[in-house]
Amino acid sequence: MDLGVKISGTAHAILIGIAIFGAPIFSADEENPIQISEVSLISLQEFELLTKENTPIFQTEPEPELQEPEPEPELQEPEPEPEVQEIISDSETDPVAPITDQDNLGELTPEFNENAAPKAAEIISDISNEAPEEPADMNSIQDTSFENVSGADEDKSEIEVTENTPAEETTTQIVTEAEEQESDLVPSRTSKPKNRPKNLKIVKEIKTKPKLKPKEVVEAKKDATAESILESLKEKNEPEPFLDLTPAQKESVGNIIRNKMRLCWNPPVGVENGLTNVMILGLKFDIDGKLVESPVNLTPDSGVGSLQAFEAARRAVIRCSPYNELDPEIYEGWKELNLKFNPKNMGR
Amino acid sequence: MRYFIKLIIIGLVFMMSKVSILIAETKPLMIEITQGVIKPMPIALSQFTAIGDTTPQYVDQITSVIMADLVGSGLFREIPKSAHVSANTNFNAPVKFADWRVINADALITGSVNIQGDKLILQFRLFDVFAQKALGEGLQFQASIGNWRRMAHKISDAVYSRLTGEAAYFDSRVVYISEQGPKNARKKRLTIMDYDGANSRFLTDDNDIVLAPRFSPNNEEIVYTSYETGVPKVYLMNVDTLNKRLLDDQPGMTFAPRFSPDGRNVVMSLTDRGNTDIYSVVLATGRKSRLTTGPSIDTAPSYSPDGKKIVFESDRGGRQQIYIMSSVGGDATRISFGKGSYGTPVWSPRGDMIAFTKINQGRFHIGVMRTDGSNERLLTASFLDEGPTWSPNGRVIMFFRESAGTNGVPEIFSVDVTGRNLKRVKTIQNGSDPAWSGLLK
Repeated sequence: MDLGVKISGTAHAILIGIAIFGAPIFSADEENPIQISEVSLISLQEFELLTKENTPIFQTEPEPELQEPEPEPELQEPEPEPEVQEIISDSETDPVAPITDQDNLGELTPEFNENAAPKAAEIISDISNEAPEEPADMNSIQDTSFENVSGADEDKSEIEVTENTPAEETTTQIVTEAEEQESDLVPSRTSKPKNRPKNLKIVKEIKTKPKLKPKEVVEAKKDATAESILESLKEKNEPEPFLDLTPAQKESVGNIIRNKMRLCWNPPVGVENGLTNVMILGLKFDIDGKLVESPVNLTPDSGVGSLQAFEAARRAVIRCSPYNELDPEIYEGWKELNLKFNPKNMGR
Repeated sequence: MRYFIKLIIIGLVFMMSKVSILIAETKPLMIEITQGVIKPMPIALSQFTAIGDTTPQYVDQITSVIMADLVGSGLFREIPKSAHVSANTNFNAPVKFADWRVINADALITGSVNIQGDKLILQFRLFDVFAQKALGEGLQFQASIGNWRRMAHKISDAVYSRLTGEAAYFDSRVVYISEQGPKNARKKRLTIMDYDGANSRFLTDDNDIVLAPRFSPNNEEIVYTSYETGVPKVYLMNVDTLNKRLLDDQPGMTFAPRFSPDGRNVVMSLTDRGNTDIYSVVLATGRKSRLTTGPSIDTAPSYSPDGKKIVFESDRGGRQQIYIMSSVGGDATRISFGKGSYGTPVWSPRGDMIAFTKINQGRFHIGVMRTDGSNERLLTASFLDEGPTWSPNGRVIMFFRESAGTNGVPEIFSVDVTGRNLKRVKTIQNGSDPAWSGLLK
């Protein structure tokens, strides 16, 4: 056989070999010390089965209905055991580290080799695993007094337990240390919500029908033919239009919602786009002011932080429910509401 | 005739219906909400399930690190365990959302700790309590036991990212200068620690003064200034092996080094015959390029994240101000125009902002501005605040604050880029010149 053919054949064989078994040859050598994998969620039914029959079932949990008590789980046939994810073993061969005290935990950095450098560094073993002290509260840090800083550090404040009391950090605006000195820490206005507005009058007039009612129309209703036409018109107009609220009614509904949101809405203003993400949520209520379904995101655009902004608005709406302050007599006007959450002025 | 009247009536009814449709609203009422509260999000961390050889002490330490990370960010508030109504005894058990809603938890973290020999397996899930939904899939981390603290930080990172929509910063490290002794004879050592002050380790002894360490983009090396030879010189050190080398052995003082984003170059100041300019050094070849010229002092260079520009400080206008130029040198544009002097500019990892030190009317500030100099905001004010460094996600700034007087000492602080959550960072000794690494792999 010609030498060229041999060389060519050998080269092609090597190429084919690389194509088939190339992964181990060209895979990255770098080994991450921490292996990461996903963990699935299981439903209540699956968990019941899991605990009863000890059969692991991993499926995604269906979305639970809002505020509804969880139904009694129905027994289902156990599904076949899923393939258990094999996690590649860590390559480290260190002996089992006893977990007896804090000093045995958490040596992330490699052992120091004194011969590695002309001037040896030492490992600070006595503090290596200590968690840092709880940070000093911002208010206790005095810019010109170092002693006060240290003192504040020692005097750790208790974390409040009572959830009904607003957190100390609660504010409606962001004030930096530099600004604090200028403003002398005097807030320009209270964050406490105002009382129920005086103009929150319940207007009894309910315009469920058009004002114009000629006698002919009333008479026509008696006519079977006309009634059938009315019925057909009604069907064609589905979904039913909303009640046209008067300006006073709109203001009343708006004030009720705004007053509640003032306490319940905690937008993520500290994160990227936190002050610019405007979210619109669609809400549906029953006549008692309870949400009949989870708020819907109607925001046309989505960007960085928009998911978190939506979730914060959704939490606010759910947290503040029910909205039983809304007048049931004008229910047709607020059975569905769109709420536009605009935080742009909250950071000031 | 009667039939004709009927037709007219029907026509009228039809028209009335149309009128009524026009009168009624066709869309739900829109209400604009502009007021709420700004407070940390209340989160609950359910006691993690202990599996295998796991001891309760281990579970407590891991969960403590997670909660310290999240609460320390200033964006979250822990609902203490004493307030919990229920506990998850099984990691796979469905969450009783009502029990967590009643204590007003916005988010819930559940998890398990499983020790098998020298292996540690951590699992966690995150839930939106009010929406009664899992926020994404849960995650499992597996590594040797020695990495427990990093694994806890990684859980914090995952939770933080999901709840804020931003990259996180907890699994990261900080290199800084440990300082001990009186001001006129202070001992300085390069020191590395986790971002939260744990796992501190000295990298140098205290024989020589060291200054201004900076991490390489892969977090494996640092550049810093040392007086080892009697004059300030820039050195390159591997943080694991501690092997080091002089970056430039030509005459003159070199200082204020910083890596380029691709890690191939180091930009630094070089003082030769009384003139300080900015130079770029190719690490592979040692080739040096001069980026600024002129009699002024040009120093503290910092690359933009894309490596195309450099921000630096210069007194070329008669006073210390911040300028931006191309990374290959050339004309520079001044961006700081406020009252006082500006220095130590550092480009944000996001690329949108520049942190700086400002000196005005005898007070020092850490501040941020856009890259065109607009929207300047001062975040701190004190006797001496200096040396800002960005967290890997560009959300937090670490700096050092020195107290006044002969007994004044430097300490490391951090502050949110919004100016909130100012706090001291725990260090083994007094510390200055912090430099934050990128997120660890």
